[in-house]
Amino acid sequence: MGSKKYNDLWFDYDLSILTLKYWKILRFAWKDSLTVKEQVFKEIGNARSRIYYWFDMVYCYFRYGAATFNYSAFKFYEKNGKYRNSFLTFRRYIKLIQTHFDWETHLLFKCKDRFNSFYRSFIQRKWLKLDSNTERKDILEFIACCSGGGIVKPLDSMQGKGVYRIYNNDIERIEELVNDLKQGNSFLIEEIVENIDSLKVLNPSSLNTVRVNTFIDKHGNLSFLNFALRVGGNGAVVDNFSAGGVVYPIDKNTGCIVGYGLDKNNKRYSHHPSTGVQMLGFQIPGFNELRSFVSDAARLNSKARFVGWDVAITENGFELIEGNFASDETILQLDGVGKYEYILRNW
Amino acid sequence: MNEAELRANHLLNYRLYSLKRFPTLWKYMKASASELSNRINRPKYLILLDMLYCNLRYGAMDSREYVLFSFYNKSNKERREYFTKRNYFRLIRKFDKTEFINLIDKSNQYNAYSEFIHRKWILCDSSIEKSEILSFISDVGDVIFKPISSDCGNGIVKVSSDDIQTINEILKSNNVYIVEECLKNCKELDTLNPYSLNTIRVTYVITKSGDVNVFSVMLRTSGVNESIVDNWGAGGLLLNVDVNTGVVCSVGLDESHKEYDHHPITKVPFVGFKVPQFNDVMDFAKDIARKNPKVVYGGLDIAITDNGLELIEINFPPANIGYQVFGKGYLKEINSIY
Repeated sequence: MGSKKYNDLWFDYDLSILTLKYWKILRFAWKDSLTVKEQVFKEIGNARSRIYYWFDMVYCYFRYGAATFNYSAFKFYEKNGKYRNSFLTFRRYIKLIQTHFDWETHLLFKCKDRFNSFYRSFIQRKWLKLDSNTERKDILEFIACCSGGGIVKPLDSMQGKGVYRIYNNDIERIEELVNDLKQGNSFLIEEIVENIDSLKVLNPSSLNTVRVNTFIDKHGNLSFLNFALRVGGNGAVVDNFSAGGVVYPIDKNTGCIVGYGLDKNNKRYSHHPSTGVQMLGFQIPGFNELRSFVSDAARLNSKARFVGWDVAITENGFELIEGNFASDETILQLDGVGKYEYILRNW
Repeated sequence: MNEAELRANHLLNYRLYSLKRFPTLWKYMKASASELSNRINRPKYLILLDMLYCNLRYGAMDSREYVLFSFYNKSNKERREYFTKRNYFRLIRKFDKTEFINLIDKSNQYNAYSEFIHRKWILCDSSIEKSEILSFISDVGDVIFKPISSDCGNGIVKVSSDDIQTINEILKSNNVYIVEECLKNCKELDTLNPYSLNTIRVTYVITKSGDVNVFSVMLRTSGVNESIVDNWGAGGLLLNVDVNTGVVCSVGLDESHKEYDHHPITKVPFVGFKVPQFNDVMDFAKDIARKNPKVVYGGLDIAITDNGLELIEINFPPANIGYQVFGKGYLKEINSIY
């Protein structure tokens, strides 16, 4: 009975790895070994046979708990055992969450209305919770007072699923939304947040945010684990990694993009694919202020100790978009530095 | 034997395992199991078996604990972290007996902690003259009549000073009461609910090494229209407050585990509400805890008024359910006492 709870948490994550029968990893690894081989060939012009990568993936799964997507994202194929062991891999990540799970904080971050209410001093945009009691009149009123329409999010979705824009004259969409509400689904409608121009150029269709991972250790000290810039894919509304976005690692001290971007198919980019803007060396505007903004937000709840914050940079200053309680391990270690030991020692 | 001693003896001699209680237990178990099985879509007999298992294995002695702690979707490891009722009665037996019996009586409490209680109060029992009480009431204004050893806010009455008829009725009943001045919330807490006194429940333990460990802070407010008490058993709402920052980080929960985003009367959103003067409250609570180290596990009700902080009462021991309904058990903290 106990394991049922985590189904709720991971309902739309890649469940295959959790429910994995051991023989299944062979099939998964075989599928992914080809892409790894191609990736290596592209990078250094020379690669070993597919069977080598297949065995290595299976070994890494049993030895380090690395899922196949960990293997390629963290470049385990070119690293030795000591380096591999320093990473927070998928199995270790699940284990970490299960041992330090806090139901209340989980709900605070997962239910977007609670989050917006709790961090109200860091949020300037208007928002409204929609449930079965909401009338069509309220929705229309809300959209009318937002410049540029609203954005509708399911109340507890992850990875940017089911998020769409809604406009004042879009009667069909509003009708659809009202029908959804009648069926008992609940949503959150928010005012559109616009990037400042230098970030908007990267991908105009989506809101491009900075992901900051913070960690509060056992003595109560706050530390920044890493920074990353998330830019949406071509025509996408959201910038989520799993919805086609590209993630670029940012230097902790200077705020420059210091590495190639990664998308969910493990392709690496120096120029953003949709617009062709050169990304390496891109400076995040107002980086020091961003650090203090995030540290203020992170200190507000002492039980939320390991959080990934999504912060948008707008004309009116910083805007907290959402927080991810125990955010995922790929973006966390995008800069190629393993953080498993640090987290384990200081939790 | 007076009322307080009877209550203390009842708690001290409560049988941990008893077949005599089983018919009543079975009745309540069946009722809550059928309600749960509708809610979470699980067969009723499985829930009943699980309840029995939790009773014997983890000490969740009534079905209410099983429901409120959400044991039905918790793993065994999480269930083990809860401070349940059987552990609670076991803990009471280890307490300092004289102090325990002494503090159940509210008038003794008020005398012992007089430096933290600034409001005027008077003990109303058979020895006191009626005219004395009436003159006290005319001095103070609106008053509150509290039974001397009740819980859950039972029998607490607010009386305005010109309502002579009600006062006479209460005095005729010959129960022992405490009559005390009516308090008013500070401005920030008044926005939450102006009808009741919204208090802060601070639960602490004093560990083996003598440190005061405040592990749970809750804000309590009344959810029922124009109710004067904020007790959970009387329709109140519980909000969990972050111990380090003083910000409400949960939605409101009432006794039947219904969740409230907003206050049902004033529509103030709960999550993110900042408790005023929070650092002062924590210092105040720690001062009270250090005053009597024999109270190893205490629950303080603290009111924040315009004239400063005020101790409403000290619960020794506080009930085990309230602070654990938010999804985390505190058995580890309790075990650090002895």
